[in-house]
Amino acid sequence: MVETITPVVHGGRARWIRAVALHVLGAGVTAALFGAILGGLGSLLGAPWGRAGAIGVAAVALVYALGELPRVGVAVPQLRRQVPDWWRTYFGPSLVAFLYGAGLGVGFLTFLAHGTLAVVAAAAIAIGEPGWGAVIVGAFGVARGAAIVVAGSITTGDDGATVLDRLVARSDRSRRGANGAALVVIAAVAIAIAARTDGGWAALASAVVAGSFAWSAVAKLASPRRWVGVLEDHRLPPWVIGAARRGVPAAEALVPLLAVVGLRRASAVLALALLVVFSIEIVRVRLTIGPAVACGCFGERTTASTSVQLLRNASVSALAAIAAASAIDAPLVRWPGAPHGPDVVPAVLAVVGLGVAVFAAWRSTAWLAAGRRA
Amino acid sequence: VLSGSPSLDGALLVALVVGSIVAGWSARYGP
Repeated sequence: MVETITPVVHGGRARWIRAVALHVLGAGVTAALFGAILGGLGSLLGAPWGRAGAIGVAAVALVYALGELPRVGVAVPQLRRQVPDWWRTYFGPSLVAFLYGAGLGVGFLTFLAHGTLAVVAAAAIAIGEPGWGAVIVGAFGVARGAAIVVAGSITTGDDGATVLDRLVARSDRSRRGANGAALVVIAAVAIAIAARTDGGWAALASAVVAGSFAWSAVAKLASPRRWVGVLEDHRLPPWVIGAARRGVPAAEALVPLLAVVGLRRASAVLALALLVVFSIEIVRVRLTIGPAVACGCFGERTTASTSVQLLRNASVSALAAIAAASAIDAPLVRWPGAPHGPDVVPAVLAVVGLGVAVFAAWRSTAWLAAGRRA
Repeated sequence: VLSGSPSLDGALLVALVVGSIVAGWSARYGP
C-alpha cells in the first residue's frame, strides 16, 4: 500500500501530492462516517448518559493509559486485516490512493497498537451526536492518512523499500508516551465532567448489555463453522444444534435491536432470560463433559474456567437487571391504536392493500423460482 | 455535549480530537 503512494511509482511530486491528498481524503471520509454512525448509535441508545457516560469514558481511558506503560498490555479491539494488494493492479493510481485511505480510515478493521481510538470511539457513542462523532473520529482518519507524508523524501527505488520500515519503526517509546498523555488528559476532563453531572446509569447499563450481545451475535454470525463446532463440542442433540445454530445469534441480535428502537426494558428482560439459559448450559457442560469445553459465548473456541464464565454472565445480568428496573423506554415506533370513526375505511384499505402486496410478492417469488428451474 | 458547561465540553472535544490525531499518527501498518 505504502509503495503505491510514493514518487517511485507515480513518477513525480505533483502526482505524489495528489495521491497523498486523495489518501487523506479517503481515510478522513470513512473515519468521519464511522464516527457519525457511532454518534447516531449512541443517540439511539439514550446518550449522553450524564455522570455514568463521563465515568465510563474516563474508566476506559485510564485502562488504556495503563496499557501504555512498559510491560503492560491491554487488548485493543481490531480485526488485523490488511488492505488488499490487488487493488493497485485493478485500479488507477488516484482511485487506489483514495481506496487505501478509505480502507484504513475505520482503524479497527486493520492494525492498532494503541487503545486511543477505542476511547475516542467510546466517547463518540457516549456523546451521542453524529456531528461530533464525525469530527472526533474523522481526525483519526485524517492523521492516519497524513502519516504517509514521511514518504515525501523518497526519490529512488531503493528508498521505497524503506518507507514501511520508517513508518513502523518510529520510536515505540514516543508513541506510547504521546498516546498515554492524550489518554490521561481525556480521563481527567471526563472526571471533571462527571463531577458536574449526574444520572444516566440505567441507560448506560442498557447500552453496555446491548453492545455485549451485539458483539456476541456478530462473532457467531461471522464464523458460523466455529460456532457449529462449539455446539458439537457441547454434545447436544442434532435438533438442538440445528435450532441453536441460527436461533442463538438471532435471539442475541434481538437484544441490541430492541435497545436501538428504544424498547430498553424489553431488551434488558430478554438479555436476562438468555443469560439464565446460557448459565444453565455452562453448568450442564461443566458437570456432564468437563472443564475443557469452550462456551463459545463470543464465538471463541478457547476455554475459560466455569467460574469466570459465570462471573461474566453475572456481571452482564446485574447490568441488565439495572436496565430492566430503571431504564426509560423511548420507542422509535409505536403500535397504532384501533381506528375510530373516519379512520376505519382508510385503515381497512391499508390492511387490504398490504395483504395484496404480500400475496403479489409471494407469487412473484414462486414464478421467478419456477422460471429459474425451467 | 456531556456536562452543559461550554468550557468543559470544549476541553473534552479538544482532548478527543488531539487523542484521535495521536492515534492516527501512531497507527500500525502491519503485524
